[in-house]
Amino acid sequence: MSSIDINIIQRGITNNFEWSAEQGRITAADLGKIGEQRTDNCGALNALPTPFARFFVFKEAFRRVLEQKLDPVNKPAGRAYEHLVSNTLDVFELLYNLKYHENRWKSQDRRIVIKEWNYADQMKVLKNDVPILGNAVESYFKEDLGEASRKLFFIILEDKGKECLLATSSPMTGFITPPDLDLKTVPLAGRNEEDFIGAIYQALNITPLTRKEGGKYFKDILLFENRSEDFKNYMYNKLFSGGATIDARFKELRDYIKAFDADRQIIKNWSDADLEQVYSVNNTPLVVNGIPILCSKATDVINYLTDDIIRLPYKIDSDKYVTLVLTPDSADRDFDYLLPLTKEGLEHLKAGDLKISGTKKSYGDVAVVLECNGKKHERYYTAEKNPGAGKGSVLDLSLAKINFDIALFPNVLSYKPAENNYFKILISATDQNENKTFSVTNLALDFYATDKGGKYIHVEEATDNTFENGVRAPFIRSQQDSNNDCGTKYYEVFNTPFSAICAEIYLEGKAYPFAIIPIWDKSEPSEKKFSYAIDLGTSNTYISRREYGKMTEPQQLKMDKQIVNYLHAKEESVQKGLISRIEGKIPEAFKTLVKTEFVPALIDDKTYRFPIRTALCVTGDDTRKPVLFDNSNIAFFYEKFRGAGNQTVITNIKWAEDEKNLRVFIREILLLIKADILQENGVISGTEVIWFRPLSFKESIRRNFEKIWKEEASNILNLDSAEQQLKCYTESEAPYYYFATKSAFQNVESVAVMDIGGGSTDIVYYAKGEAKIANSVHFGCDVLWENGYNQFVNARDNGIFKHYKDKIHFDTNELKELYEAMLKSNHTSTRDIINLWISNDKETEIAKKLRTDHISTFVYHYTALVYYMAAMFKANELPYPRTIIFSGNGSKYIDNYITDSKVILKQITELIVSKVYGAEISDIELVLPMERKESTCYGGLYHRAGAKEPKPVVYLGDGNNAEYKDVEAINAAYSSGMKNNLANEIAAMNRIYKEVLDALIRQSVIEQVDSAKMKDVVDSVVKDALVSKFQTEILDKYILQEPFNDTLFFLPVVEAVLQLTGVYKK
Amino acid sequence: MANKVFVFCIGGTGLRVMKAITMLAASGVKTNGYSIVPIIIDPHIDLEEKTKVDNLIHDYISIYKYATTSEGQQMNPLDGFFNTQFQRLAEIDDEQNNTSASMAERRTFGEYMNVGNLSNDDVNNFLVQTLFSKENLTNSLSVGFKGNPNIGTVVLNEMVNGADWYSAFTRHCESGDRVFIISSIFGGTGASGYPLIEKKIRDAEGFPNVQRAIMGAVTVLPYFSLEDPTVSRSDIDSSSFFTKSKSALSYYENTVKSDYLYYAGEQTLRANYKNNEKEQKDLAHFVELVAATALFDFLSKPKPDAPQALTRAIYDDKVALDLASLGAGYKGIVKNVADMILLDLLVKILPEESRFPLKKDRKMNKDFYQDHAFVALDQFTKGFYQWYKELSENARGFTPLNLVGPGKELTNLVKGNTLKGKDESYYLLEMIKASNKGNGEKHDNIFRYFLEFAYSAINVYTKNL
Repeated sequence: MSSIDINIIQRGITNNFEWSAEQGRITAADLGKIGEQRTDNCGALNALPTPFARFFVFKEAFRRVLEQKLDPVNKPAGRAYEHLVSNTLDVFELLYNLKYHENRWKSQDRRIVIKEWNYADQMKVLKNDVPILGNAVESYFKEDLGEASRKLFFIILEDKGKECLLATSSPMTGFITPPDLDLKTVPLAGRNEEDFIGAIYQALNITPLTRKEGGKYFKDILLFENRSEDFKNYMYNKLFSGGATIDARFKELRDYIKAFDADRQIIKNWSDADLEQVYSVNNTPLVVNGIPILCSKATDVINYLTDDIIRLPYKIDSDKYVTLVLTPDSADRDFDYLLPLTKEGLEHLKAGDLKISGTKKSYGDVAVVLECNGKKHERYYTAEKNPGAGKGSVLDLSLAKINFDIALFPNVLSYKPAENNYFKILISATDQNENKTFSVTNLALDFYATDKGGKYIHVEEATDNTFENGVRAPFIRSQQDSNNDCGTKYYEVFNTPFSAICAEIYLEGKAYPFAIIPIWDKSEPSEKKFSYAIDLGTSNTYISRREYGKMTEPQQLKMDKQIVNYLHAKEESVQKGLISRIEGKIPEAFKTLVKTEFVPALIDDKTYRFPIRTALCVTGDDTRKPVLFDNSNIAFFYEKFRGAGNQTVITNIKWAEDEKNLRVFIREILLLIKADILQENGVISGTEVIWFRPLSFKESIRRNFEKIWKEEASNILNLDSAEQQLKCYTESEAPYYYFATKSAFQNVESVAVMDIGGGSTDIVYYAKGEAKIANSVHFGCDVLWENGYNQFVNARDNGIFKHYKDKIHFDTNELKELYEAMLKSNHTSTRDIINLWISNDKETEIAKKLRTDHISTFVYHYTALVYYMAAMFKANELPYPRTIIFSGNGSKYIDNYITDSKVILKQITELIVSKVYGAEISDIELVLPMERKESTCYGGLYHRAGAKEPKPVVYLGDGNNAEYKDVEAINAAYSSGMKNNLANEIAAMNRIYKEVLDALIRQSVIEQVDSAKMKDVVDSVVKDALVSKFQTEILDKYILQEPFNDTLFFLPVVEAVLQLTGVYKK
Repeated sequence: MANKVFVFCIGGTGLRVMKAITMLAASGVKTNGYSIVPIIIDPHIDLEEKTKVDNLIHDYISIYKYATTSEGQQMNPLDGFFNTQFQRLAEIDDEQNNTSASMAERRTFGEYMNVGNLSNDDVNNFLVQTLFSKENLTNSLSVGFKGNPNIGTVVLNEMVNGADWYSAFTRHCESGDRVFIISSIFGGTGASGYPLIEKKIRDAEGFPNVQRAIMGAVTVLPYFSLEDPTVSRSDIDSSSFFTKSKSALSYYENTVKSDYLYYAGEQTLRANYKNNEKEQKDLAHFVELVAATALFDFLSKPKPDAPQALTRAIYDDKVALDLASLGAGYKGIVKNVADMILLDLLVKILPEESRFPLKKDRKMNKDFYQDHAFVALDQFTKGFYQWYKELSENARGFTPLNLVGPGKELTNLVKGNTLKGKDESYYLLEMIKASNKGNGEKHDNIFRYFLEFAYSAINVYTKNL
């Protein structure tokens, strides 16, 4: 048997089980006996029958939490009460650190405003406007809050102009927070998380109010014992040192604070002179129940470490970026932490005065120690979802299924500050979640330079053209979508070498700041100067480099050192090349865009090598305003692998009417050159830049080229003298100087250099080392792959294309995809596709096929060019050339697809020249060098100083060297005999063609070809072509008063070549 | 004219305790001559329980009137069943409104207070935000205060201010009248109402009878829990009941000043109810019965020299309580409940008892059994039976009786006791004897005779419990 009181506490009522007053009223002393549960639910705490219940609840919270402190096992207070106590302490602390916070919030448009509520004034308003509330307040105010508390203070956060109540003064606990600032547990993505009850406080989830020591005000529960030493002493020694003199209504708060008497951080004689009174907006001292609320004047305490640390799913390249030195560490670590440095912290650091390390803890936690200015700053970051007070959290990008990478170009700084005038920063970002919330737009960078003292200075954004240096607004080039696995964004910093980046990721409404500190390569002062020769061809671009004063065999530009720094670390491998080690570790989702949109990490002469295709990669459909990297860049990948779905490749750069693409191309070339010079410790401003032009350039195009080269080279390389250091030679004359320097031919008496390019052929005649005449025609090797006069890009008339398009197969997937895409594309020409076959001969064996099936076409092309050259020389009364040097990539078809036998080639060449000159000629030396195209830029590097330029001549192809003022004059001559003369010349050339074929048949170079039939084919087009193509290609395209610097000779030849491509064994 | 006790029943618990009071009064528990004036204060519009309690009081009053009126003449109260007069405030004062009707609120709390009247830059907005959550402001008042007495205080304060019914109360509270307030401490409405009503009464300037009235209150402390609110999607979380009570008790210590403050609650919550604020169809509970006894105890006591707080215990901490485990102090209650259960039995069997002599002698015939009075009694006793059944089946259970149906042996009706009335015939015989004695007043109210004879008969066998 056990008697029990019908009550919530057992006090042993007897009295025969009638009603009994023997134990009297339940008092506060009895309350401890109530078997209360932990209270984690804030909603439980408003149980008092007064509108001012909230004030009492806080009072009760302090009593409960004190009980808990004294008997933690048996008197747990529960999170709800702990939160209230923590909130009140937060208000005291926020005000104590008010100066510090307001300093930090300057850039965030945040501040604390303290407003007053005066009973006498406000009761009138309440009674008038909200009388029900007014009556209730009137009924209870005096009894509950007391006569002396006729003034309340509201602590308000003004956040971007919006007011948000944080706390109200209370005569019982100093301050109370509004019920909407209480926490509730909400399920979020399968987890339970704590969130503010009131929607008005959601903004604090996004940009939390961060305590000076870390953790979030009003969200992370932080009881008194865990607060900072200064704050504890301020509360203990300053506010509540009065003991019994403190108003009795503060009993619970006072007892709680004074219960920390034994706390080792409480200093009995603590005093802080640097305290000042906090005032309301009405300039009333903030005094609560007799206690003046103070704030520390200290504003120089810096919050160096961020609240959260970001864990990357890859290692950072510690050679190129400052990283956390992790202990313990292992070689197989596949993650890294971004530097958890705040902007504020960075601004108080000196470049170089930074030592940051991390200690790996269990469960993915990490303890970070920053040593700077002789002090240590520590923070513990936990992977737990709800970090305890004072702890930061780890944002694991791998778990969040997002990722990003950063790349800097160039990665090298000049010792001359003025030369550090351009940096491009690529950000690639991906979100692998089904519902994507993260993209490049969620990643923002702020750049910091350093002043002379090493202090980090923010680099401003250049908002208009009045800025002489700064950061240009970032440009999003690609978005993650069905085409792309990631998005890309580009920052550009100009005229400012930057030393650090403060970045922020915005994820699910929250900002995660971090810092990136690049370790730059630095050029060293030297006297080394370099010449660069750039042969920007229709199809390919060559770059060669020569150090002044050194007579070394030139070669195409290649680099040993990387010029781009990626955030991700290189692969550890002793067997792989540097570029493979860098590119191999680009996160998979980024590979396509990073490798197609940005500059290669280095030109290693293997994966990336010159020559490159003269092609631009353009993102998006609008190509009217190409900007380097923002939407356009050199397509290093072209014909190697397929680009991204949102990209197109533009190949018509050199001859295009619009110069913008050309400028972008040249700019990137020059930036590569600059990075190369810096890596080689060269003198940038002393660089010599040589570029080449075809003879056939129209004057207007030539002027454009000159302008672009001059502007870009001057700007990027800061040339000491653009006039002297920027040189232009004709493409045709340059090879001569290279081969002459190399002594590649015997006879110097009369030398012809025939430079066969894609779109044109240039011929220069040298007599005894001196350039005499030069001639250029718009007829290159591309006619072999194109569609005659059909100008549509997607024309598919070419017989060679038709012959093989279904027979060509690629083995590698990348090329397979690329080929399929090119076949489908309306922007890809037959020339592009056949060039792809040729570029990948190992897979396609196209050379063998062409040599077998289409040799007649190549022979005709060769015959036409040699015939034209000889006829042109003859018309200009020059002796036939004893040496013919073939240069230009276009000339490769001669030895590749006709024959590599110089004897046979010599025979057929002499046959053609003999026929033109009407004499038996047998002493022509042919030079078909290995460096067919390279010879142009190599020749540029060895161009003889003071060499005379050849005289440009025009030869229309009709057998004489008459000069015509303009198209109108030619038109007149054409109809009065020139056409017939041309027809005769073509007919003569076609006859020689048959003879050449026969000779080759005899030499067994050609098999199963009917030379007569082939002659019929080429003859068949002459008559019509001379009429119709003269009209469409000359009269329709030129205005009558325009000078004509080309030839008419090839009008029927182009058509004939097209016809010949269709003659093969079906 | 007898003195009155104005019984303020606030909130759901107030209703339940009022039900128990009505049942006990019907069973014969005496009020020391006070007539009961129940004032039900609950802003729930849709609460079925409120309607039921209202109907129960209505039925009680009807039965009381049937039993105390003869040919238009008021008779003395009975001695046994239904001996206490219940009065409606509306009957006392024709001018006032129904308390419930005037409190019917469908608006949200914010709308009710008109907080929209405050301009955006009014500093009082911050006061509102300090005192109430956004959810508080947007909750409809139609389902009470959802465990938020701070809201209840504001609403009830306004409802009382200038309300006709409250005015009627102050005007009709006469010298010697008492006030008794029933509320729970852990809910919303009741918790907010008790200190408020007490404060209003104490502050009723100009009404000395009100200010001086002896005041009692029963504060019902937690005695049941609710199913997990995360399952029921309710706003009320019973895990906080003790916490709420504790902080309220702390507040009460310095604020409430009733002459007699009764506590009733459980130290361990055994009953678990569905968490449905709209319905609250929960079984009657022993603690409500104990709380109801507080009123009768209060009415038996003189004005104390100083405020007193009272508790009662039970003899043995059992989940199912019989007379032994309840303890001696509960004998009277058990007797009265047993009496009423026996009355119910009689009401059930007598209409079918064709040979019952009083059918002829006292005209307790078919017409009588079909008359309004008996039908009302039949209805009431059935309700009583159900109420007891609920009490007995709840946890903890008030189950001192062995319920049996008609025709069964009644010796063991009261557990642990042997009644000499072995079956119904014993009681019918005693009714006949009582009729034959004819000692009482002479009148022609058959219904009154019926109740007198029935009580007399039953008392023969239960008086020695």
